[in-house]
Amino acid sequence: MRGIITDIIPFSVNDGPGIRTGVFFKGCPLRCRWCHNPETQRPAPQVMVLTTRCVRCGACAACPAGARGKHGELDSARCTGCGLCAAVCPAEACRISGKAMTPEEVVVRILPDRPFFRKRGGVTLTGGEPMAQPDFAAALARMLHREGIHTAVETCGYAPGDAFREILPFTGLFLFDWKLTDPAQHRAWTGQDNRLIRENLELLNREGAEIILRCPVIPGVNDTPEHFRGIAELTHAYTRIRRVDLLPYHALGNNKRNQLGLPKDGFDPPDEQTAEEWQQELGRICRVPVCR
Amino acid sequence: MRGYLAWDDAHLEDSLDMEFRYTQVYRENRDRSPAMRELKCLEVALPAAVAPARAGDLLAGRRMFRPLGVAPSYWDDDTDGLDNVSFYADIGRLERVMNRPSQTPESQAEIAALIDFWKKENVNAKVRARFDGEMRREMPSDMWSRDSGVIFGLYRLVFSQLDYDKLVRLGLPGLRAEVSARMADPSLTEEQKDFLQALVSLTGLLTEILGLYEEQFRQLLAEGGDPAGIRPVLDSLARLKTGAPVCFRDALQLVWIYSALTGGRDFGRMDVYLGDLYAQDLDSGALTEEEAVELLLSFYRLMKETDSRDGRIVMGGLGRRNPENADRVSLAIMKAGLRFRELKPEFSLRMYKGLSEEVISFALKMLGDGMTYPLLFNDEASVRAVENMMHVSPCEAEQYGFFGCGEYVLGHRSIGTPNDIINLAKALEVTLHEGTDPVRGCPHGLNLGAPESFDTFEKLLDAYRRQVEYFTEIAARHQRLVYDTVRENGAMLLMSLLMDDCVARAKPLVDGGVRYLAGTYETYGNTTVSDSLTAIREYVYEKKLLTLRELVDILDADFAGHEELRQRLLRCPKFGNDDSAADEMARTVNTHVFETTARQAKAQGLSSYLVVMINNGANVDLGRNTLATADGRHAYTYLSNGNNPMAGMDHAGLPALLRSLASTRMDMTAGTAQNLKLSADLFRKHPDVVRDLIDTAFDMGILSLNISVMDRGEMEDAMIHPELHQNLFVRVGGFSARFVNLDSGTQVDMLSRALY
Repeated sequence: MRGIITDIIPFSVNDGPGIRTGVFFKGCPLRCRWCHNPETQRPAPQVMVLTTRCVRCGACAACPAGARGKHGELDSARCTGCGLCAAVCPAEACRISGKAMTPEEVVVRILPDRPFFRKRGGVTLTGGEPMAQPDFAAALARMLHREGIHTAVETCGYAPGDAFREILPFTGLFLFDWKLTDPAQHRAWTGQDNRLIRENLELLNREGAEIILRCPVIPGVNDTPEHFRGIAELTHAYTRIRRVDLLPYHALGNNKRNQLGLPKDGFDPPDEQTAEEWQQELGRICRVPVCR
Repeated sequence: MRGYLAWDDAHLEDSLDMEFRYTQVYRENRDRSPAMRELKCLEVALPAAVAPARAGDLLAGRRMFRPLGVAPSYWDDDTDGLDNVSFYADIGRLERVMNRPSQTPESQAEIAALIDFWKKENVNAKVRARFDGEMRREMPSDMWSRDSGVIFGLYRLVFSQLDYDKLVRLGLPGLRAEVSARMADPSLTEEQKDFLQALVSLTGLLTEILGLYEEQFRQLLAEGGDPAGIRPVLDSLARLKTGAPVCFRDALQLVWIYSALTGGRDFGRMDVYLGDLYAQDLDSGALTEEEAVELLLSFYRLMKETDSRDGRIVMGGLGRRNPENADRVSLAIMKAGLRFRELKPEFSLRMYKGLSEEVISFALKMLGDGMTYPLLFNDEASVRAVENMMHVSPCEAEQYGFFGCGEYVLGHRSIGTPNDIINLAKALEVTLHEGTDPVRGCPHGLNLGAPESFDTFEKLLDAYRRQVEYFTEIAARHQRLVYDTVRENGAMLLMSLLMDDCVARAKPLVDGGVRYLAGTYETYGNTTVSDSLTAIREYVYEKKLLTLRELVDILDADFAGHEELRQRLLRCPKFGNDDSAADEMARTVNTHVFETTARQAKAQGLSSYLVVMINNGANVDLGRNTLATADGRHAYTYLSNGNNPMAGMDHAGLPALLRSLASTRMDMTAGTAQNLKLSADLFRKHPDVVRDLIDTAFDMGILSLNISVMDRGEMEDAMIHPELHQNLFVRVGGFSARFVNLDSGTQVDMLSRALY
């Protein structure tokens, strides 16, 4: 069994408690317009181009899929992730995002970091959407569990309930996204309805999972009193939610969009004062602490 | 920048009265024992070093350094930036006085004669005069920060930690009684009696100087100074003339004056020697914590304004007789430090299982505040390492101290002053240039053959090793020569009085007195060499993309026309990324120089001779005379320093970096500096993570950590040189990015955001 992984990043400290290693899964059922890891949306490997390193020599134009222009341009839709351009690029400006790995290979990569996990830390499966590769995710979580390593799963919640049931016994913590409360708005901004997501949140709560609700807030999209009330209601309805993580929009994903040949997402990050106000407002109405 | 509190030109007008008197005394006592002659000189020099108090001083003891004197190390940074040992002469300052327009031709002639005399009589010059032919050839200059060379000699007896605990327990009268009692031994030789007599007289001289400071503060009072601030100083000085310290203030006062007069800069286990009196005063209500902090602040101000270097204070650790009291005073010591907010004192914390959590938390708070101190030591492992490398018992090893950037020394039992430095990258460079220094264009080191003759990598590596061995043997002889010359010229009385076992053996410090006469050897460019060798092995010997000769020519031309090759070399495996090829090469290079150095101890009659891999600016200075290197480094730029990756070459994350650092045999050295740069954000949001990180690093066997927190200045530097900060990870929840994978514009943008 193999999963597609974009990166394994040690010393991740904002994705669950303690010192963690993040395993980034490739492929996601949602298409959030503000996504900061756009390279993890498509399931298959694809090329990313560091445009500032590109010397525009045109060597990559040999692309068999016709995804590369004469001067290093990238047509991401055509890219098959074959890796030819990365192999011929003299400036090392191209790299392939997405690598097929077995759960064992991932664990071998992680194990050297284990001394850093100590009592608090562990591994966070994130992405992309780990639950979009449910068998692989469950197998990996099971292996980590057997090793005694705490595993967190960061999820958008959009996956069959069975996938959650399967991984639940090996998961110490779910970092569960809640992006928009209004179903129609959710579909408009992410491409999917949020009914299934709500069902899965309820399921995890019922099953006694540890949950941190992760709420990206994007100015002009979901910085509304209605959505904030929706977040607060969830914290009152589901007792297993331990905390709300407020994730104010940041524009760093645009750098990756550029590397993927995509235009900017068009959002503006909030200023510090606005983010602070959001945190205070949510803190006032939620049952649990709101962190940022 | 001037190292010492001004020997104030204006203050002295055109008078060099003291210097003439001092020189006369020096001459008159030429035939006496080194101890007696030194005493006679100190009797002139020390009273003349007493400097005026300043408003607000809560402790007495301001001193100035005159252009002539005796010190473990006088930093002559106005003339040549070099250290001077024992009897020093600041020729530059004397010349400035001589050249003043107000001098008459007669006085100028007198000063010129004085200068001529001391040019030959200062101990640095006497060491150099004894160089053999080989030393003259391979160490033609002492100007390591300016000139090109593989090794350089330093001249100093720095970093010894005197027994301030004994000073506090006995006071000057108690020390005097101890030495006097020792003199009753009928088996002493005349020479030994002479030495002990000099020590007895020294305690008398120090008591007289307490009187001078008393006089100074009495004067301040008469001039309308604040009695509330001045009277306690007067009372304390009066007590110290006749007895041992009875309170916290007395202890601090006596330690300061002794240290200032010695010219020592390391304060050792301050928590131990201040702890009991601090606890006593607080518990009795005689002192509040705030008052103690104010006294410590005054102590720190004196430290900063007397001498701009070092000033190490050690806290925590195994082997303390009073851990509870010591921990209590540690908090006051650190609170004062946080308020002082200067780069000194250099606080250090020996962390062991069982150390008060309150002390640890406060130390982390200081670090999070961007103080860069305390330097953290893995105590249990350090004790084991010291035991092993210095060949001492566990009990003695527990009393280790450290100096500079974390070099080990045995508190009041050993001297381990680093008196030689080696530029390892230069050693490789002269090896690749047939025993020639291409920068100076003259023979230097061994000619072990042309690049063509190194037809296997092993032959090249072997030649490099032989070169290092050749230079290290010369350096060790130099270290010995410094000690021998110091021994013949003086007794280092102030140090001898508070170093084991000078009184017991009735012998001066470096004449058989100190229990462990050791030495250390500063190595620079370790990682530059190992990364270069990794690249050479891959490109020249494995992939055979070019010959060694071609590579040497390209390096000589600083990669002109070969930028693409340089980029490829930069991408070769580098130390600091948990890459087995790079880390094994580093271990090979390091272990070789560690062993080579340690072997010299026996030949030179030293208890140990060990490498120190430390942080300071020498890697930059030495790099300025080093051609391009095969790791992709440009000519004349900085070398690697300490046990660290080349700046900007670690990009695999903190766990990988720490694994690489831990692969170095730190326990074979007298200290290695490991630097970690963490973000202020991490300290603010995740103090638990910081603690986990430190504990893990220590579990991995890393002996010490130098933690700096990215402050505004560094972030600005990162904006200008993002390539040097590639181990930064963008820590935003759920976002996966390695700094190195971002476009430079975003790197700069990200760094600028993080400024707020």
